[in-house]
Amino acid sequence: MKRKLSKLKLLYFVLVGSLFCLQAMAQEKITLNGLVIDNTGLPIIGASVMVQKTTNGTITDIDGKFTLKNVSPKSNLQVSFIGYKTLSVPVDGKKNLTIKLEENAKTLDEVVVVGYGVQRKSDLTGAVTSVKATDAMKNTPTSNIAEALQGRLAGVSVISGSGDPNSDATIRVRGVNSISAETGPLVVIDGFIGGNLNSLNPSDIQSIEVLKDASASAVYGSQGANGVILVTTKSAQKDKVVVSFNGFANLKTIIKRPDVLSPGEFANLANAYGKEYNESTGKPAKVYYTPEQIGNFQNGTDGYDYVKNMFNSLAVAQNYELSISGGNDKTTFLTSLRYEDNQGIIKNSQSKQFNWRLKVDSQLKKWLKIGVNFWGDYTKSSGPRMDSYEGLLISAINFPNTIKPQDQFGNYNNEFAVGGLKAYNPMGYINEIDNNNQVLNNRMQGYVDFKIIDGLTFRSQMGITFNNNLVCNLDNEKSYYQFKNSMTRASASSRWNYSWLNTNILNYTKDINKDHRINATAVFEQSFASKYQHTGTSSKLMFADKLGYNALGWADSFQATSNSEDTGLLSGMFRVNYVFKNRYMVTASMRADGSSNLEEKWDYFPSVALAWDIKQESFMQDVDFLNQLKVRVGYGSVGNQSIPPYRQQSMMSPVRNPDGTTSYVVDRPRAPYLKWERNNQINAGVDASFFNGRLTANVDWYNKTSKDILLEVRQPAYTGWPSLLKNSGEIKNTGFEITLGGDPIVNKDWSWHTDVTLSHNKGTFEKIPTLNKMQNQAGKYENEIFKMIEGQKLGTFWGYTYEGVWKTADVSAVHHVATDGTNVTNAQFYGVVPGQAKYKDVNGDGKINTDDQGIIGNGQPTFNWGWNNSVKFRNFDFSLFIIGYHGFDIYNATKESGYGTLASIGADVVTPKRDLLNRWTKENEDSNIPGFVYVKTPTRGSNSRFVEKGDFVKIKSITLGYNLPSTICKSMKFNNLRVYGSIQNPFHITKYSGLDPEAALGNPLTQGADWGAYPNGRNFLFGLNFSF
Amino acid sequence: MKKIIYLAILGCLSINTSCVDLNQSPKSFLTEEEYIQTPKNITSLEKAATGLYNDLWSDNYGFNCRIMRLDVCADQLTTCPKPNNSLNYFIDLIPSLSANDADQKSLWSNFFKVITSTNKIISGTPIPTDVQEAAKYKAVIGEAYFMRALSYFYLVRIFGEVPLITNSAESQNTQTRKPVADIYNKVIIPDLEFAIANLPTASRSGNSGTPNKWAAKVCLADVYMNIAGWPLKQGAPAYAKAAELTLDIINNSGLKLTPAYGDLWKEAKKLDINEHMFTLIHDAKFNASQYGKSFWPRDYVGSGWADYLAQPAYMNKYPNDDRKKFNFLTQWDTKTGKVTWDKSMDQLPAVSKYQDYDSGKHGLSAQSNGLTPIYRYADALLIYAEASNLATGSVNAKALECIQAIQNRSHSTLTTTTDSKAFDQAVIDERGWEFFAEFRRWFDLVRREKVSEVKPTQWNSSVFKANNHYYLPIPADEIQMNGWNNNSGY
Repeated sequence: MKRKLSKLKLLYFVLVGSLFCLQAMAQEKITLNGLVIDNTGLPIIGASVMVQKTTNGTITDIDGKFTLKNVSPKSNLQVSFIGYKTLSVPVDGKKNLTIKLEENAKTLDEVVVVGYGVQRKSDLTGAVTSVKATDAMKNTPTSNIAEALQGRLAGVSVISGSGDPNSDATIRVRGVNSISAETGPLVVIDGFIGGNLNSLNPSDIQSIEVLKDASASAVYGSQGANGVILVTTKSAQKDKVVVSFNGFANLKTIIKRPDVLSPGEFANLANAYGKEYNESTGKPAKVYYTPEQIGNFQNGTDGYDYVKNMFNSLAVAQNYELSISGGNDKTTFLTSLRYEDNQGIIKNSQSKQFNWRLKVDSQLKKWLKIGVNFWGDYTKSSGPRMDSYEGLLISAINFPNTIKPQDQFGNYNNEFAVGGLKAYNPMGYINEIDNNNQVLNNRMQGYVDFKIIDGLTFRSQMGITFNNNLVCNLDNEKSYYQFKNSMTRASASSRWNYSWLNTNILNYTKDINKDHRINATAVFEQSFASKYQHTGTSSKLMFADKLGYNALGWADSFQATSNSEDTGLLSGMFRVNYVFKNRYMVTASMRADGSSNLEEKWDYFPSVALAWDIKQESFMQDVDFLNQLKVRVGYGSVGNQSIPPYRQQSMMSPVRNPDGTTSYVVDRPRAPYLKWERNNQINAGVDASFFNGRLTANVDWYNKTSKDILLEVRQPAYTGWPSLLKNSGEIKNTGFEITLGGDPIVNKDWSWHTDVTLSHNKGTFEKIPTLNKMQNQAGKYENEIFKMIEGQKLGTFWGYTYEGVWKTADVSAVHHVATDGTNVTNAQFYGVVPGQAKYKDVNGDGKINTDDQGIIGNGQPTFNWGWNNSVKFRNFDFSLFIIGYHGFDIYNATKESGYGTLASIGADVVTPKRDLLNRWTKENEDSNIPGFVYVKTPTRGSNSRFVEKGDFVKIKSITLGYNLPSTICKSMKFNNLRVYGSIQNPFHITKYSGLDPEAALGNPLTQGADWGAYPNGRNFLFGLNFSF
Repeated sequence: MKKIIYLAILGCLSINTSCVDLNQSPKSFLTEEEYIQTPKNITSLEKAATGLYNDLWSDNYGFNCRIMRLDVCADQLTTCPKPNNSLNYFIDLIPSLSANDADQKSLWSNFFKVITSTNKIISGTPIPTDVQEAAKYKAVIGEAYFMRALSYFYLVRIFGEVPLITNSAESQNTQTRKPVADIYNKVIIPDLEFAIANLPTASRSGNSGTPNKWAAKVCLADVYMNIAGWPLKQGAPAYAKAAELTLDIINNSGLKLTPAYGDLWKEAKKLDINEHMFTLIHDAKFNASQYGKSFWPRDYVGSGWADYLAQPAYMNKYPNDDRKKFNFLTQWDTKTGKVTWDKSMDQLPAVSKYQDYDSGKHGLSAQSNGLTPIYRYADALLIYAEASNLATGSVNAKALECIQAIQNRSHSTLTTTTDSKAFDQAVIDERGWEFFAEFRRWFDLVRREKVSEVKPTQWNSSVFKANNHYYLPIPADEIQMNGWNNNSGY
């Protein structure tokens, strides 16, 4: 920056300087030589040096030097430069001076975006964290901004819950606060509520702010309960047309493949099963594979590696971003285009995305500014079945690898090797998919901004969003659906949604005098969303492969459905922020919201926050190392209503009769009295900055209580419906967050910037309104391991306690002596056989039933952190980014599936699971893994055997970049040019035995459930970035 | 000035475009209040009544599947020895909440779903003032009464004491379990009497998929058979009522036995007016039955799940008549050629009764067509035979005629004894042969307390013997949510 001062400007300053010199010649005074440097010792070019109370002055030259003639020895010099603190230096008769300028603690006067406006960062009273998108993207190049935010914002948990190119990262602010109305934080893009981070071109983003506490988010009262993310997109620079380009290729590989037995090992295991299992039932051993067959498996002439063939050896993602911006004094424009082609590490999973934007702002009159912003995105994605029920990953790792995918006629071998049951071949999931999901979003936004009188502005904005979606799917003659239902099927489903949002903001900002500053905002806002969806499904297609979903009519049976929904929200808000003497700050707001989703439509959400900048007090002025010390405390209330519409009405549903006609049945009941879910939060924090901003620290503590949460409360089945949506139940989230930022090294060649974020959150159910103060989580499969229990944390696993395997000696041991004096053995009391799984009989009644279940783990991380380092050496930049999650368990259902006890997947009686080699046998009594024994009445259900510690530390990215020196750039007519390479997820440290502990955290309500999760890949990324 | 005008225009615009209507009503469905309480016409009411059969079906693994699973408690069916087969708990008469809650849960909630819907129809439908119109409405509402009674009848037999809910408001309050006698006297009997009084003599649908007056009568007769036996054991007076009801059917309904037993189980003939009096009709596309893979042996070439296979001992006892040929599959094709049951993978014979219902795709799909038999004319005959004998202690000519009619049809040996005890045994056996795998056997064994006779080994270690009842556990959730005590032994 400093060096980039144009020669023209220098010339100008020299001329002006000379003029002053000439003037000064008249007096007989000293001539002063000096040097102006910054705190790293670098010369400051063009700093202004003035003799106070005179017009005598100059600017420093290219070496930071200056010469002043005719200076009175007793005068003071005033030295100033943009971005540095103005300094007054007494001459004291010296003829040589070295003046060091201190950088303005840059954060202090920064302006940050808050809800419905901007505020000086120094005036903030709430917990707001901010990230410069360009910095984040530079250190973690990615096609999805959410991933670049991971670990950078204390209190904001970003999880890349899956390596699936079709899935988004999961973001939660300060824990999970709601159940039935559980959503991520509200995303506000350029002042328009309700966006999606994934729909943004990351390079369009200027900055991201997260409003974490209620006093900050209460202005979004209606929708702020889960936190608010404010995104500001870039605007153009004036007087200059800039073209910039960023492109990268991302080569993805699998970090760790599931370890399964080789076909030869599996064949031997199958024979062992045939022997041990049958002998346990008193039958002769059964041989499944002859030595000859096993030989073929061992030498590789037979068998198939499903695990290997499920993954791409290398998946490639490409991303290109191009933007052009420019303008003149009055009008600026920015247009951008992005294309991404993203292949997943699992075969046949991919997505393509286009983003576009045209943003024009124009200062029509001094008092009138208008602007439009047209932007949108198109995504097309497809992928294999990754469901919790019979999904690809779990199927592939458990499928007998002695069976080839297809027979000689090309038909899939849909059969288990040992048990003989039919099961769909995993390769079919990959090869036979024919689906795509296309989403088109178009957003048209515009605003007018009036300056009514000085300080008073009125802004009215209107945004319209069109959301179109087309999902096509074909299940052909070889598909999973055909296998399950003996017919082909094709369907096309489209959605035509549109919504509008109108926001009117009246703002008064006035620095009344040095001591009083006021910022008052009034908002009237309304929004409306209309959704329409229809689906056509045909079964029994005549030419499935040839025509598929492109000719739904070429089939024997049809079904059509449609659904339409309208919702509206109406809100008013008033906020005032008052700052007294730059040090006492108060913000108070009140928001009223009305929602069409609720019976009790209106509610009010107040907030108040106080802050005190202690550093500004006179007694702190002499504390030099401290630049800022601010304490904040705030309390506020926000609401949540994100439930499906029309829940206050009961519902009839059409059902098909056996003759093909339709009848109507009573569907869900009406939820009779719904009101706003309310989230009250208290927040206290300290912001401090030391050593001219080279060390910053923010600490926040909070306590949030969600009351009257919108919860599907389980009710007895005799009511005719398993649950009823009610405002009941209470969740408390409490925690603290620490953000530390530092610049340990800053000099001419080297700079090192480091940020650490530490977050702790504990979410607890304070109230569960059922008779026994607990209820099962709604939903199937992974939901079934969770139980919501009053007084316990969210994410509590519930089940049996596993106690290993019944050893032969234990089984025949005496359990107790009966009243008639006879010995009762464990075998008699529990009805167990040696080699069978042993569960804790909590109440000692000899039966393992629901009374013996209890808490067996918890999937909610108690603590997470992120550590980001960026180092610059001359033209090189290097960054290292590490995250960690601690204090949580994972229920490893992927592992359980291999033992055939998982309800959501059929497994063969023996699977190629390596652990089975160490199973219980008569020779291996000490094993912890049940043996191949016939158990007539096994116990089923989640149990502690598959609960593992999930703690992990993960290197998220290591990035190295090289910037072409500016002189070379200039000669090539570039502004800048950077090439970079990055490794993402190079490795992680964990005791978890599964593929990717992070992937188990993807879904906030089922955190810690690893149900065949799509693992994140290890990615090698190479990119190029330039502008001219 | 210009500024103010702009501002004024903008202000007006923003006010005019306001405000969003916060009163939105559903656009893609009717509420139950709209639908039921203000019926558009009799057809809309009929469609709500037809919906009840869908409620009973519930889903692919609903009524048809669960009632089948329950029937393995009896002596006719068993399952293959595959690992983790939770049917073993039923076969061994040790139902368990930990190993298998799904069957109880599904049965319990299905029936209460039907009850909830019937309550809404019964208490919500406005009856027209015009007498003739009113009769038409009541004829349809009679189906709801029938279905409510039938649901409670299953519940009380499977679970014993259950909550008694007969209108929509009650279900919102916490309920207690009511004595078995109350369930019979306060809801099942009055509901069936209403159904008998109001249902038409020919069913609305023209097939056995909706009940008519006679179906309600045979159901009520069955109810009295159960009141007569375990657990209420009201004996002769209840048998007399059952006999009276079935005699009325025999004399006045005009129903006849379908000449060929096998024709009752033909997909093509399932909608005929025949001996079936009430059934749940299935279509694989819309509301499938589970007669597919579940009934085929594991080594069958089309592949099966072998959930329900026949007990060889029961097959061996079975008289060598038309029915035996029809009901049992003793050899089938495997990948390596034909196999007889005793040499097969599971070493058990298969049940072929419902084979025609998978429309030729043997074992290819779990879902199939067909029907779930609930009552047929043979019930009326055999209930009369059993009830008249037990009510009076003597075998009358009509009773003999009834059992012989059934035996004649299948070219079986005729029962000729007039010894009350021997005749009773013959009728019980005949019910077993005739209704083989028709989900009645368990209920018969229970009401006549014959489980210990036919399954002595399992009986001795059963939950039932130890706890002196024949009930399944109430689902764990339901117990916990209501703070009830479960049936003893669970």
